[in-house]
Amino acid sequence: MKGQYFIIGGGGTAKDVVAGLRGGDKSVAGVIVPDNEREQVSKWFGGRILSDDEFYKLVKDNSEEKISVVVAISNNDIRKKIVDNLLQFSNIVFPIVYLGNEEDGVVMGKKSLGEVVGRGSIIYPGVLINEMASIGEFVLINYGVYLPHDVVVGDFSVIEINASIGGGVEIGKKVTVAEGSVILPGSKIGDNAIVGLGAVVMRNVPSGATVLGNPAKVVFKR
Amino acid sequence: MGEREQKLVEVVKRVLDVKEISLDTKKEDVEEWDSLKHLNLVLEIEEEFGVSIPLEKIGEIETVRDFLKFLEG
Repeated sequence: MKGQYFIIGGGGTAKDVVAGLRGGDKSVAGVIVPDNEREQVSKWFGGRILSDDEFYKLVKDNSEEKISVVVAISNNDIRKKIVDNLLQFSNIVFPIVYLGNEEDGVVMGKKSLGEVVGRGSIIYPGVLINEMASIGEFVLINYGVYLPHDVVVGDFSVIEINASIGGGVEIGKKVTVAEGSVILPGSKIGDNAIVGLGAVVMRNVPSGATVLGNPAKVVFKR
Repeated sequence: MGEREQKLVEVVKRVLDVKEISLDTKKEDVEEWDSLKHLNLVLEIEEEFGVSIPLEKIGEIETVRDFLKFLEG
């Protein structure tokens, strides 16, 4: 099953990952979804569709083989829950997935993508990462995002389309930075925070807070 | 409970899709009351009651009752 990826999820992110891999030289071995999503997924995916149980059986039956899995779910809490569960299988590996045709040029500098980005992360085309940035595991970086020098992105966070992130910005774990938001250089975004659509962040965002507006204000906290 | 209070509770029930809602319901006690629903509540209440809730006040709303002060006057 070398060079073949099992995709977990049947939503928009899974569609993006399947399309992105088709464009490159990697192939999709199967998509794993709950039974009630199987019919929906069969409309856009002609390959093998497995339930959780079928997939677990496959993983156990092939315990000598490395099985590459992409958790293509944009909800940070659900993505983490699934990954935590998959970690019990030592033969599952989580490659970094780049959805463009050529990985060259994604990292600005001498480092490779794997030296800057943690395992299981999904990087869309049109992303540029300074080699002096540090991106965690199971992170989603969507189209049109530049991550400049000294940016830190924690595990299980997602940076959505065209978010504009300044140098030295520190983004915690399980953070969502929504489409079109702007984060000023040096700001810190706490764990589990949400930077809402188009928000302009001028100062630090506390953990668990949702901010919105220009300048961004806390509109929700949990 | 007055007519306005009743209408408020109904709007919150509808937006959150939760049956057990009163004026004293706290957002932290309702799992469905997440940040997106919180904003939907604000938008829906603004429309239903023809009021405007300032962005900087939205974060201070912790209970259903807290919406009442924006409906007065």
